[in-house]
Amino acid sequence: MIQAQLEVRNELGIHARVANRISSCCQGFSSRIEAESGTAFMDLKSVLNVMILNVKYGEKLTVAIEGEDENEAFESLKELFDNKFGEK
Amino acid sequence: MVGIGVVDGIAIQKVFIYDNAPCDEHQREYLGADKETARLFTAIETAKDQLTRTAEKLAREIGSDKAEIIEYQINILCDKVFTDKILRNVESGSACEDAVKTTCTEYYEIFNNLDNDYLQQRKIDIIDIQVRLLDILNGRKSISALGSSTIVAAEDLTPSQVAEMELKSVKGILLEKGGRSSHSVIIAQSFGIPCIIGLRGLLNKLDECGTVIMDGKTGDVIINPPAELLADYRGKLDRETKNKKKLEAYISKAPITPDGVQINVYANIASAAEARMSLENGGEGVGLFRTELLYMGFSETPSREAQFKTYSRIAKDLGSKPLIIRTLDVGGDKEIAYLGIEKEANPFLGYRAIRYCLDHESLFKDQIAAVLQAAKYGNIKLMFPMISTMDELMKAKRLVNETKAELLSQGTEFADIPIGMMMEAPAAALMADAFAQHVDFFSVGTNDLIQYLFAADRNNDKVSHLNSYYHPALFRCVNAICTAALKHEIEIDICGHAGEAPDLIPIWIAMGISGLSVSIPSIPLVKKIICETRAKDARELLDKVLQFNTSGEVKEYLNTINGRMQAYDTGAIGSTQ
Repeated sequence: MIQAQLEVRNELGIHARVANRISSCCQGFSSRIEAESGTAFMDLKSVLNVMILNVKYGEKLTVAIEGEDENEAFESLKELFDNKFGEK
Repeated sequence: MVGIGVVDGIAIQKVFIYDNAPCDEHQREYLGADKETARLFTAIETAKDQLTRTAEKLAREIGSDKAEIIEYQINILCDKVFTDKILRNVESGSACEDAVKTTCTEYYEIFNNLDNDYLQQRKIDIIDIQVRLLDILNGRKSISALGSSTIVAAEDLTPSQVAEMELKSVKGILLEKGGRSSHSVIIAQSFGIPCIIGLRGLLNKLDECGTVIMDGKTGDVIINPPAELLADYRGKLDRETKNKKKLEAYISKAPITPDGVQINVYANIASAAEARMSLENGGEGVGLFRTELLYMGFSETPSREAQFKTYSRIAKDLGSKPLIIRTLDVGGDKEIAYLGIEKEANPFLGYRAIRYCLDHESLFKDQIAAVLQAAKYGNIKLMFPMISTMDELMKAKRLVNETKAELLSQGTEFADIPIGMMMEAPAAALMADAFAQHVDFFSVGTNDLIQYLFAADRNNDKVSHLNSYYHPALFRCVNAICTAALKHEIEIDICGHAGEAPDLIPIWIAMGISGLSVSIPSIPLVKKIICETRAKDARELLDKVLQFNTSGEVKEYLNTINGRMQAYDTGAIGSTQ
C-alpha cells in the first residue's frame, strides 16, 4: 500500500473541472484509491467525494492506494497534482 | 385560438407538447427490487444520453471547447458511490423516485453545509440531476429529444431549456405565457422561428397526433384544421418562402440610400453559430453580442479562457467587421440561478446588468480581460448595458484600465478597444451630451428605453399597449441622443426591435444614425429599405412625426404617406399601439 500527501497547488482549489480530472484519473486503475477526511477514508473514484473533500489552495490531501497497479496510480495522481491540474 | 404574434411567419406541423411543470409528489407503489432497479438504470442511462447531446450541442453552438459542468453532471451519474446509495434505498423497499429523492437530498445537505461558497453553489447540480431523473422516471419527454420539424408548445421556456432545444428542428414556438422581449422570444427572433405568446389554456387543447397551423403575424393558432384551410395556409407559406427568396438579392448589396448616405446593417447575436448565420444573411458585423447565453448555458460562471475562446472565434469569423460585445446583462427577466441574485419586486428597476457587475469586480474583470485578449483577433468593441449615471460609467472604465494593467503585468497579450454604452435609461438619454464626451459610441436599446420612458413593464400584457415604438416621445428621445452623438462625432447605432421596424427605418436614417443592429432574418429587408429611402425625404418625414402627439397619429401618417410601407410589415413585434 502507498500512503502519501498531495498538495493542491492551483489557485482555485478543487472545483468541478478538477474533480472531473481527479476522479477520471482514479477510475483508470483497479487499485483502491482513498483520501483521508477527518476519521474516514473516501473513495476518490467518486467525483462527488472529491468535491465534498473541500480541499483548498495550499492544503494537503492524504491518499492511500492499494492494489496491483498502485505504483502507476500514484504516479499518475501525483503528476496531476504537480501540474496543478493544467491550471494556474 | 388567437395569441400575440411576436415573430412573423407561418408554420404547419405536428406539435411537441413540452410539459415543464414540476412533477407531482405522489407516492407510487413499489414494484419489487428487480423491476425498480431496472427502471433506475434505464433512467440513469437516458439522463446520460440527454446530457451528452446537450454538451455536444453547446460545444457546437456556443463555441466553447466543452461544457465542463455538463461533463461533471455526467460524471455524477457515473459515480458508483452515488448510484450505489440510490440502489441501496431501492433494495430496502423504496420506489426509484423516492430513492433518487432521498439520496439527492442527502447530497444537497452535504454541499449546503460546506464552508466554501463555490462548493455550496454546486448544490445546483444535485437539484438538476434529481429533476432530470424524476422527469425521466415520470415518462416526461426531454426538450433535447425533439423530432425533426415540430412546433414546440409549452407554458413558458427558460433560457436553459431553449439552450437544450435543437433549434433547427423547431419550426414554430407557442407559449401559454411568455413576454414580448423575454429571452425565448429573442432567440426565436434571431433564428427566424415563428412565435406566438399569451395562448392561455393552449396545452389542454392540443394533441400530439394532429396538425397545427400557426401564423406569427396574426397570432392565429388553428388546431386540426379542415382541408380547405390547410390548403389556404400552404399557399401562404409558399408565397412567404418566395418573398424571402426575392429579398436574398439584397444580401450582397451595400446599404446606401439613393442620395448616398451609408447605414451599416449589423446583427444582434447570442452565440458563435449566429455570428456565422449573420454573415450568410448579409450582415456587416455584430452590433450587439448578448453574452448572457454564455452564462446561462452553464451552471457556473464561464471561465475567462472559455469566454476568450468564444469571443476570439467570433472575432476571427467576422474578420475586419466590427463585433460589439455587451458585458453581462443579467437581471430583469434574465435569471442566472448560480449568481444568486435575490428575487425582487421590480427586477427591471432592480439589481441588474452593470449594477450587478460593478459590485462583482472579479466576475466583471474576467469578462473584460477575455474581451481585451480576444481583441487581438479582430475588430472588437466593448459596450456597457444599463448605464444610468456618470459614476457608473467612470467606475466601469476604471475597471477596464485596471484589467489592462493586470494583463500587462502578467505579460498577457491584448489589444486596446473602443468603449461604448447602451442608451436605455432615460436619465442617461437626458445626459447624452455629457456621456458622449466619455465614450466612443452609443447604442440605443429601444426595448428597455421604451419601457422606462413609459414606465410600463414590457412583459406585462395589461400595460403592453403603452409600449409602442410609434410614440413621438421615443422619437424625441432618440433624436436628442443622436444630436449629442453627432455633435461630439461619436458613432450611434440602434439595436432594439424598433430599429428594424420597416416603416420606422427612414426616421432613424433622418436622425443621422451610423448603423442599425437587427435580428438576423431581417437583415436583407432592412438593407432593401435603406437602398430605397432618400435621406432628404426621410428628414421631411422626421420633422413631421416629431410634431405629432400620439402613436395613433404617427401610425396613420406613416400608412397614408406610404402605402408601400404596409407591404413591408414584418409582423407584430412591439408594434401594438
